[in-house]
Amino acid sequence: MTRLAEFLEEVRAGGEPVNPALLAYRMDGTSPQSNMRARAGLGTCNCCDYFTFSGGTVVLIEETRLAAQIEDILRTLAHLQDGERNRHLLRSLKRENRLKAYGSLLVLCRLGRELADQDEAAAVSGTADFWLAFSGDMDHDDARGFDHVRAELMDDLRSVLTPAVVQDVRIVPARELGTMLPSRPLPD
Amino acid sequence: MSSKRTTSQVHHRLRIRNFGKLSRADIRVGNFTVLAGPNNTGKSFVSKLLYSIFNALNADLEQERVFRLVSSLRFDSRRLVSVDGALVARLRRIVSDMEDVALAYRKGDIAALDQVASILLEQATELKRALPETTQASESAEDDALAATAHGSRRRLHERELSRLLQSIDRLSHELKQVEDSRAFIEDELKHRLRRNLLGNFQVPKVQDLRSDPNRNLQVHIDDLLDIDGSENKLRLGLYSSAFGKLSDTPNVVYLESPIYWKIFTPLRDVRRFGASLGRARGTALTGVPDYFYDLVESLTYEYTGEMAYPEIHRWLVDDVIGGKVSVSEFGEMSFEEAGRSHPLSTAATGVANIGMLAMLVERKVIDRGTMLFIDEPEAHLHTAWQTVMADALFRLAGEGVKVVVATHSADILKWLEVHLKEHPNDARLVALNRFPDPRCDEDDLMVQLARMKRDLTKPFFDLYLRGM
Repeated sequence: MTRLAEFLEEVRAGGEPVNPALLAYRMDGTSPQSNMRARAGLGTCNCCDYFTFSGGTVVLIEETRLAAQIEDILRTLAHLQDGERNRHLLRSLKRENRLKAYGSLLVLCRLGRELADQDEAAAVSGTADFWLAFSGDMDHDDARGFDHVRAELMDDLRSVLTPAVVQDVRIVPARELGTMLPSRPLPD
Repeated sequence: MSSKRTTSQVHHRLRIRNFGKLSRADIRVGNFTVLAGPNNTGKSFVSKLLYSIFNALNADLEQERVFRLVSSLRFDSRRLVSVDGALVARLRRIVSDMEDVALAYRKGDIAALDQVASILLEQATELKRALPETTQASESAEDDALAATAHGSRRRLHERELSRLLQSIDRLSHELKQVEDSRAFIEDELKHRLRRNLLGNFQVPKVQDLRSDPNRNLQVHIDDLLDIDGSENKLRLGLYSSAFGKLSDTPNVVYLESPIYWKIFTPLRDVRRFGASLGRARGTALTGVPDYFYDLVESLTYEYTGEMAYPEIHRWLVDDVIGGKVSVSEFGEMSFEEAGRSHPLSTAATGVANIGMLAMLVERKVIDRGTMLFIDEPEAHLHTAWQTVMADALFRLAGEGVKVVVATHSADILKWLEVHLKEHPNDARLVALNRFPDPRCDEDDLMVQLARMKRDLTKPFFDLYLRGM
């Protein structure tokens, strides 16, 4: 019998627990005992790092070093001209995050059938928000740049999924997660 | 599971074909309408088109028509230089009486159109009777021979002047006899006004010049309101029956553009005082300055009754944001008053003029409940901090009953709107978004529309951001 509490963990960003402490359900853990993905029968599927509940919404949390990730992708595309390179970059970011969002929704959907507690089963099938939580610092240029990435991801996800499935996309500083979400998951 | 689709209440849907930059566009108009996109994509074109239409619809068309017909007589009676002094005096006195009647109608002393038409028709008959009989007779061979002499030349002038006056009388009489069909009477005037607005607001010699493809008609359709169809030679207008209830239902229609206009207000006002040699052409001369600027100048010359509708917004802008206020003197001079000192608006910072003008329009009640306010590039000359103030002020006005139409390419204003809608989801009902260069009504979810519009506007920055990495 599966219970969500098995997957409850302290959220970490850049290897450190966020402050103030935040508990959420680990989705992509690797230990055999608490591997939510594997428990849902989707062992190799892409999915986010955590999910939690906030105000009746499922919040999917993907921890990332966004600026460093962008730099890495740009390096691999250095042979391309600017316009083409930027298109590839965005395509890559959108694809990766879309697959993570789809995978997470699939895990939650499968898990919902496993959950013995019906309240929990109902909670995981609610509307979802997709949050990219970036670690490291952000200057004003990053803020504007990330806002553009957010608009791209929002359009990409919401062009396919209705607001009943994914409501919002946010890019937030990981260190602020503890202040933006309830310290423990709060199903509605 | 509940869906949280964020949607708005649309007041008007507009379908535009072959107009300016836009081969086709579908526009939504709500309480807070946003036209957003890069430069040169047709936002201002749509904004000016909407202003031209709603300004025309909002005019008191019956009064305007009566006034225009009488003005034509006045103009012709003033040009009688070859006519005997006593006769001229008599003709002008009758025309002056007719002007008094038209004025009484405008002031509301005469309430009904058929009543004013009946009085004017009697006066027109008297005027016609006062004209010499020769004016109304056809020219004979003897007249032609006389016309070849110097005396004949004067007589020909004399007859031309009187004949022109006679034509104006006949036209006035003919049109006033049609007032029983008030719909046709209004439609004709609306068409005239709309044409004048389009020429004046776009500063083009012909409406046809506004077509993107000269081989196709210009078409505008507003649901339940009107259809416009402009070909090479004709501008056709069709008014829906339901439109009649919506005529003149707005206290004011205002177009606020670049604050630069207001900083050089005095010379621009003087440009409008055309030379006397222009004569009847005064009404059609192009100055390069759009008519909506002068419409607003005119509305500032009036005093309006009642209390200021939005004192809190005014106080906030004046006291908390710019620390002073824009004033207009009885002679029409504009100044900025701060810390007990007053100096010409031309010396104030342009951003101050931008916000100050909005506050001044609220203070003078030009912006009132129900006003339709068009504002082109509200972000002009404003730092990001004040762009969000401007967005906030305009949105507050929209929430309080002003219909605001904003044409912008500011990602900061859109960001403000996005955050505001997240914090106040119920305000989504006020918002109608239109994404240029290809505005269509195919996406109802505001947050998705906003994301797309912002993505368009922030792309150049993002490209630089990536280049700089």
